[in-house]
Amino acid sequence: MDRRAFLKTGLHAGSIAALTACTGRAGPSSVPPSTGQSVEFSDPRLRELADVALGAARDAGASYADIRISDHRRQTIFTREKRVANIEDSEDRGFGVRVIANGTWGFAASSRVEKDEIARVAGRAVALARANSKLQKAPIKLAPTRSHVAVWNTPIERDPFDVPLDQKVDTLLSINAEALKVSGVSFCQSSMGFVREHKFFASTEGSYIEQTLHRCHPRFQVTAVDRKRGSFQTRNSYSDPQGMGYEYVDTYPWLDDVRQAGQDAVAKHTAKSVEPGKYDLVLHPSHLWLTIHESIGHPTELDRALGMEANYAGTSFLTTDKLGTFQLGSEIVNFVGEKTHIGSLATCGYDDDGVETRAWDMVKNGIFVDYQTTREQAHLIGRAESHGTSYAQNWKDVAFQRMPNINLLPGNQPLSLDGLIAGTDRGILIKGRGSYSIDHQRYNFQFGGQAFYEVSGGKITGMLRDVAYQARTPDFWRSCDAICSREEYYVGGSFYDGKGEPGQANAVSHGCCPARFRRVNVINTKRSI
Amino acid sequence: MHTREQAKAIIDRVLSLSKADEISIRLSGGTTSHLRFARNATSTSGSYQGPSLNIASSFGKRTGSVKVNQFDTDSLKRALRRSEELASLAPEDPEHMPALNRQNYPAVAGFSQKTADHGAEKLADWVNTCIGQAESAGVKAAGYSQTTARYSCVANSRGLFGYHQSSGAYLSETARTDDDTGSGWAATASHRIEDIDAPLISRTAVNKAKLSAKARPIEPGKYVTILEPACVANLIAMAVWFMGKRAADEGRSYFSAAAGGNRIGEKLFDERIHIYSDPADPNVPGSPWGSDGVPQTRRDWIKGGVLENLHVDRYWAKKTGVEPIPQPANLIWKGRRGSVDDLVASTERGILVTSLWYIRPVDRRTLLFTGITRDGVFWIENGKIAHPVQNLRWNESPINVLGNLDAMSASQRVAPRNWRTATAMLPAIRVKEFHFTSRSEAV
Repeated sequence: MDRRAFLKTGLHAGSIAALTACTGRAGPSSVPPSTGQSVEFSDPRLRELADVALGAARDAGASYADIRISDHRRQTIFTREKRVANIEDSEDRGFGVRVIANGTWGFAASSRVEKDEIARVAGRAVALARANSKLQKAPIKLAPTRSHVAVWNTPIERDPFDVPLDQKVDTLLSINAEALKVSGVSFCQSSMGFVREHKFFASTEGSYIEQTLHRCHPRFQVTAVDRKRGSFQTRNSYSDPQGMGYEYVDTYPWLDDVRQAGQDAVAKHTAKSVEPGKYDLVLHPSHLWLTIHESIGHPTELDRALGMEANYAGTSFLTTDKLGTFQLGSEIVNFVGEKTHIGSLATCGYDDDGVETRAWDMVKNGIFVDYQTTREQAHLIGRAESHGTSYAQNWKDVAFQRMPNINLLPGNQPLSLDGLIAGTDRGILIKGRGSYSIDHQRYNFQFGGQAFYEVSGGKITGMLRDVAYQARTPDFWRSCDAICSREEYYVGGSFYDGKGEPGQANAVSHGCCPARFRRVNVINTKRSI
Repeated sequence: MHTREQAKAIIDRVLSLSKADEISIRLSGGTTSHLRFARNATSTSGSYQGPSLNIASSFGKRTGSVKVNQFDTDSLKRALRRSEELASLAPEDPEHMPALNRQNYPAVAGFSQKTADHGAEKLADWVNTCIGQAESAGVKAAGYSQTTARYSCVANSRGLFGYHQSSGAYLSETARTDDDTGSGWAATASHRIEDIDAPLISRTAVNKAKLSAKARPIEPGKYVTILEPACVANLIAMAVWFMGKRAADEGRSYFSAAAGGNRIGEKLFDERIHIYSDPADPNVPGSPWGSDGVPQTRRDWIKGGVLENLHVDRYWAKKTGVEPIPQPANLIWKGRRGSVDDLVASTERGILVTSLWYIRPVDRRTLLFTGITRDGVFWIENGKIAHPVQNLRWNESPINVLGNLDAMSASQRVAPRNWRTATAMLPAIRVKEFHFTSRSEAV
């Protein structure tokens, strides 16, 4: 399979479902409505245990309380060349109680999921809230939300924890073997990781919500060492983590991708080193999702814009005075936030505030129109309700505002990747996630990639290396003059979106089509040391 | 927190229930308390405790690992059977190493009861100090405070047993001017609560914020640059992370020799550079053992500018006929005399950088990294800070930094960005050139 054929067949699985979600139309597998008191939970004791926490918190004087009882199952298998380097299986169980007392948050957690411990921890959370309330300036105010009694599960076709280990190992070792068949390839390492997050949320507002979320993360890296040149080159898989079961592993074209990766890694040794300057960039979705994540996802977090993350992740250039007026991108640029697209990483039925998830416009015709919000934030920008973006990575972590899936909507006119390249005179096509760095207000960024192709006179004329581009976020998105149409839509994502102190990871997806950005500054990263 | 005896009892129970040929165990736990603040008020707080048990069961050369956090007998049995099942299903690992025999671990004084007893409620005292000083100065403060009391154990079916307690205290603050044109940051960490000087941290952050307000843009390029210890720690940690012997021997590292093998013994850096690790250092105590249970010891990494060691796991060490070397327990760079102010005073023209942010590798062949400066960048003219300058993106290699050393201050315990433990002791340094590639208007 040649490169373009791979683009056509390898990266488009699930694109129709993706479009359904990103245009805000609920498909048959979208979030179900709240189903009332008749819902059956997996274990009736969960509700009893939750009520212990809510009662103890109320008795201690909390005006609001919620509890998350959760267990987290993970499995990761690492291989390199012909060997299995590690097999890890983990289970982590516990609960966290969050309260508001004296208008201040308090939180405490424990791994002992027993009634006496739950009551003790609830009391501890209230005590912490009271102790910290002397430093509070304004009481916490929660936007109203409907209470829900509901069960929601990630719809998966094949539970990865039921798939025999030898099948997983065989898949990984066959990837490595295929890579090593390519002349010039020296090493190949591959891994697959699976997460099952099961949590029971209950609040003093009457919600009892049980959810089971699945995520998977299979990948490889090929290395080609050229001792004569004193060089080594790598190429990572174009697979991305997904909110799916083992069906993603079953359907991804591993052998096609790894053969191409081997050839790419070897070809990088002799590829032309890029001439620095201004280029039109054609960004493939396997690359563009990360640029969206860093330059649109993070600056639209309301807690950053308000200064709540100033000490760690940073603030945002999208200050609240820009809401509704700021030209963030060209008129063809539209972003939607959602936690409802089946298959995406941040998707769930209800967030960790107990708010039903939804989709909403964030950038409309290039204008910045909305943030990501939680219940405690909505009123700070005059909104009546939360967009449902509260999340905690684990039972022992405090829930706070985390990024939802944020997608770039496809262009309105029919346009394929081939058509976009054909219309580009002097440019670079970039594929895959590479080096990435952006400042703490999300203005200035630098991105690399996995593979770079010179575009000249509407044609791909060869591979390039040592490529990175630097830009200022609004300038970059205003330079976007073409976005391919929905047939090219693809969803990439990250398992490890980091924020908060103590640091927490959040898994999030970004859907997009190939897009072109005019006259972006490209630097050459080659150094002689 | 489990005592040595309680931890030993859990481990003995696991060992007694095991059916594997060999079993290796890691057990850890403790309490963490934290309190955040922003916009001159508290935001989130928390306190949690939770142990973690990692079991690696082996049959011959087949191994399976399981991690759990429930310790009742049924849960332990289930975890053991799962690890044994995974091991029986796993293919033979040609690089399998038998469990370690009993080891002698160094005595590390990394635990302070006073720190462990400093409960979550007392964190509000530090935060109160920070908010109070910020309000008096008319700036907005955000920050994070944390205390930890932890233990970790390493054990196996060959009789290996180690128990280690550690404590930690951390405070950081970012102060921003009311008009959002200036931002300053300071942080401190120690295993001793009495080392946390909240007024000093707040004062430093507030002063930096005011000094950095209304920064001027300068042209990107190569400049004489003073990197404060927090910057040096980030850069050196990146270099050390990639100082693995196997990658070097396999030809995929800066430390690979052109003719094969690695560059141990080569003088790669300025001869004044001496970087070592020592788990028993009284200022920055580290873990007595590495990730595979191999004892840590005082070890030179770079001495007299010469590459002395690369870290290497047990398998690759055996294959290449050397002793295994864990990744360093801490990072200590033996500095000279003087302070950051002294370096500024002796600089004719150059840039002073407070901290680095969002550091990512760009090219592993040259260890080229990119990142951004943050929270206080200043132009120096004739030995004095002339004015603040806007933040800058940089593309630079720590190899270049270590080769371009011009001067260094005394070493100090440092808590660089992204670290909340006290495991680095380094100087501020002045380098002859540091490559800034574009401007950022971020504050």
